[in-house]
Amino acid sequence: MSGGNTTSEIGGGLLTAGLIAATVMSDGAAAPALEGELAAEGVGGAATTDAGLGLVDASGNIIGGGAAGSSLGSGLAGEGIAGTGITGSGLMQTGAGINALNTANNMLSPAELQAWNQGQADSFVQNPNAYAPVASTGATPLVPTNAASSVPNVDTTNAQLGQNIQNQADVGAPVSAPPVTPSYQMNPITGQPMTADQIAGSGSTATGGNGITGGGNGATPWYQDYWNKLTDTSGKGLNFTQKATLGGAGIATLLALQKSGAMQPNYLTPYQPKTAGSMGLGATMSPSYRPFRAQNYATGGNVASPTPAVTTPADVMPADLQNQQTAVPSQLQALMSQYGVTPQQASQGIQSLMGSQQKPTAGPSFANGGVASLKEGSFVVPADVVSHFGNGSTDAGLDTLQRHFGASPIRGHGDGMSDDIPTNIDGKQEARVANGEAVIHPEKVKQIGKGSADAGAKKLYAMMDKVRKARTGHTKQGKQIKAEKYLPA
Amino acid sequence: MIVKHVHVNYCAQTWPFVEKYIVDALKYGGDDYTLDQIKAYVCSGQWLLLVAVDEQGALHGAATVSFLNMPNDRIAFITFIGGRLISSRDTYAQMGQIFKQLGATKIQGAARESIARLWHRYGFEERYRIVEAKI
Repeated sequence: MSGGNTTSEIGGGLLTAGLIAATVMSDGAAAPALEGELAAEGVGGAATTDAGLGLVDASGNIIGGGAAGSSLGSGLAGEGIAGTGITGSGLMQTGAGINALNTANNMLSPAELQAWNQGQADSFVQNPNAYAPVASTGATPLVPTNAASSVPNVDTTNAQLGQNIQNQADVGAPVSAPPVTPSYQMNPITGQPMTADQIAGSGSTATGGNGITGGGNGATPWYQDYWNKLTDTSGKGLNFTQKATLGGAGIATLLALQKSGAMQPNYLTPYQPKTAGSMGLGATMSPSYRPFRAQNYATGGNVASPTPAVTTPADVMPADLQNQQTAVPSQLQALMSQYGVTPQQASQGIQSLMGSQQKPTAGPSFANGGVASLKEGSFVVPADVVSHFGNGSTDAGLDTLQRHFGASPIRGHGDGMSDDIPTNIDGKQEARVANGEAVIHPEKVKQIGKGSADAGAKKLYAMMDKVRKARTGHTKQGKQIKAEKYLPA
Repeated sequence: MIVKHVHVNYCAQTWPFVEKYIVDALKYGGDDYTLDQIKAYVCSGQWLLLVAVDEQGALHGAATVSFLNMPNDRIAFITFIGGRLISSRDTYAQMGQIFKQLGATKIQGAARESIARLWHRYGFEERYRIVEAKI
């Protein structure tokens, strides 16, 4: 008896019908009597309905479930599970499986999948209308209307165009067509799509109708052709003024600009959809990726180095002040001479002001900015705990944790629970951390646990519970809220 | 980021896109499954396939889930997960909502120490330690 898998246990989530359309192939008539086990394997045949497979013993009782049929009804061979603990439990649950989610919004749509297949995930979102169904039948896959295969083989005559459209509606599928260059170009006059020939300006002379016109001869642009064909209602030709009066002023302007050499004809080169690869989609970001950032502040990211912060006044102080504490800023020199203050007096004044202040520091945490990697075994202290250590001040809490554990602060977008800052663990596992959290490095975690990272983590969890208990009366993290909800209008 | 489940009819077509994320997770999965076996479970509908897509429709993560019926709970057991699927409270909440719709009352998974700490932020508590011996 083979052990089988947990098919029957999960079958309830997969079946759409409770039918037991089982075919049991035993290894012999005596097989079902083997002490409650069934030395047999249920074999799924070509089931054509939404039926799962089950195993039955000699008495007809369900004792094991085969694999569930998919919603396509394809039966699968599955090994039955003998024994009484899990007999058929999955089979008895019907109608509550994955198919129950079919209408839910949180299911990957065929159109999205097709966009991936075509490498056009970007254009699907940016231009969802381009992915309209080509037929009313639900079974027909969605295709982009700009795909070559969906462009009808349009003749320039109205009759043929109408027939093509009719054929498309009747058959429920795109009209088969020879390869046509994909195009989004629309005729600005008629609002109708233009064929590749028209876009290239090399089509035959237009005969009018339905907007599939205006190809012009050779290199004649469409607006030149349009201008030439402007007539009155009787078909009589018009002079320049009359044409301009009839709405061709824009065309006249185009022609004038072209004639003067200020504008060359634009033959609207065929649109080439961007591929996912060209957009960088589908690729995994390198752990060493560093996004551009302005000034010295990270646009998001985690600590880049476990080393303690180093004072780097050059990053944060004006050049006049960072040279020496006794240096006199050049901006003050004019005032000093105006009021008769000597450089020595000014230096003493500045020194007395700055001497009691802690210099602002720019730690190496954000030296590179962007996304960096967390080391395996690091411990992230939640933002609420950090602020508890500072009696409500995140900065003070970070300072405390930095002094005690060498923890590195996490700064970036979002709040303390928004998890807006992407990072990863050892460059492999994607993770997110939040603004105001702190990372205790794995070496320190081990040190806290006297050599054991696990023991260190437990102590840190206990520390978190204690400080939360002391500050809030309980050990749970506060609920995530939307600040706007509580702010006065 | 939006978490979506993949209907079994489309799992086979979706698999080439999610495979890399499962391969990443498989590195830590021991020798319990091969990639082909996971694919078979997913494409036959025995395991649920989840994907995480961004607002532009690009794929960022995937997970496979097995449902276990216990006497007191129906458990969504995350068998393999890779990429940015449980990477924020939001995506975790979306995933939980899908599991709820499938009748699950608990989420479980076998996690490494670092992942256990990461997921602790989302309310996961350590329940067991998996021990193993070849016999």
